[in-house]
Amino acid sequence: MKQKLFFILTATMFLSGQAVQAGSLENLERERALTVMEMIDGELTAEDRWEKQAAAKRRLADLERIVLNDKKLQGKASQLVQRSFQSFELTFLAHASAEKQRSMQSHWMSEVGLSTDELMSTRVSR
Amino acid sequence: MKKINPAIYVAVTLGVIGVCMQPSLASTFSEWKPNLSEKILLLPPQHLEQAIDNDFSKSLLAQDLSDIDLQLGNQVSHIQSLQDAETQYSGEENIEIRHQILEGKKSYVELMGTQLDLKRERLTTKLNYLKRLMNKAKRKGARLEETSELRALQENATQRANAAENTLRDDLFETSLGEESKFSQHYTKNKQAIAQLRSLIENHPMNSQLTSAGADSTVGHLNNLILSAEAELAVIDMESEILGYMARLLALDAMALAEDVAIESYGGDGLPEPINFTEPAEGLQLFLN
Repeated sequence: MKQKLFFILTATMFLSGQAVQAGSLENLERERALTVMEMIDGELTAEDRWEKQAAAKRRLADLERIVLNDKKLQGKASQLVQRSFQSFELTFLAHASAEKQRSMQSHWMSEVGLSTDELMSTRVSR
Repeated sequence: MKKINPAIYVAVTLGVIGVCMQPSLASTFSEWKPNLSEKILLLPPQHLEQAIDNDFSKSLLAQDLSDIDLQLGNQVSHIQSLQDAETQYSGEENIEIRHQILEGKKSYVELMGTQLDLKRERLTTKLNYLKRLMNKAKRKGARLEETSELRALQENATQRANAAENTLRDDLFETSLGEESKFSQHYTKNKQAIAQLRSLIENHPMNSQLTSAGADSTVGHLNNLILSAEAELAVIDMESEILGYMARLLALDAMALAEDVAIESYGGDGLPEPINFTEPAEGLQLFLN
């Protein structure tokens, strides 16, 4: 029993000792998810949201630049890389919103189909 | 006049013939193991062969080849000087010179055989290396084809991001809560440096000559190099055949010399007829004394 416990502890220590390094794209995805969560967080005041979004935009801009200059991603035919570059508008939120000259929040909402026109055209149904 | 021992000449002649009948004595070669990285495929095609030849020139095999070239040159001049002197002497001296010419020719044939083997070794190694490179280039070409769509997407994303960069910087400046991030400062500075260097590279006069070719042209160039190496190997085979005829001629010369030596030794009558003691009448002299 003691031996088993010792083995489990050793294996856990060995595995936790190995550094897990996320790629640039994974880091961007994580930051983007947090930003979107802040965008739709109903508990935030307008002022708080504006501040948080401004800080997020700065972080996202840096992360997007890192992804665009990451040589390891060039020609890497993984599903994640493929899909990320296929949807420039949603992956590179900071740059795409600047390109469209819109705020990041309205850009994201219009890309996922949450524009005023589209919301107005919906109908309530059971 | 001192008699030449025919046994020695017969032994020498047999030695010459024996050597000439062997294809080559060169069996322990120094090798050439190409020590080039896969990045050689990134070089422009015209520099590919140059890089392979440079690698070869550093090998022990190249050293051996140049040593043999030197020895062959010396051997040829030695034989030529002996051939010039041959007509000036007669009798025993003439036979001695002829013997030395044969020895010189024997060494020449041996050296030439070794040289051909070394050349064959070089070409075979080069050919195998080129075939390996060809396989790699083909695999790389296939991989590039697979990822070409993704590369186009990435290039498009970079272009769009670069175009929006100024607007983004203005946005960030307007909504600034603090200082610009450290990465952002370095990024702008480095991006400008990269752009300047790129434009210098594009305008450099050597750039048009050195631009790396695509996988297709590399494969085509490698194919030409392989064909050329195979043609050189075919030439080596023909040269081996010529050397074979030289060796045969040398063997015949050696046989002629052995016969002349025998005639000279026995006062121009040649070898005496061997006495057959198996018949009683032949041994009669033993009983008469």
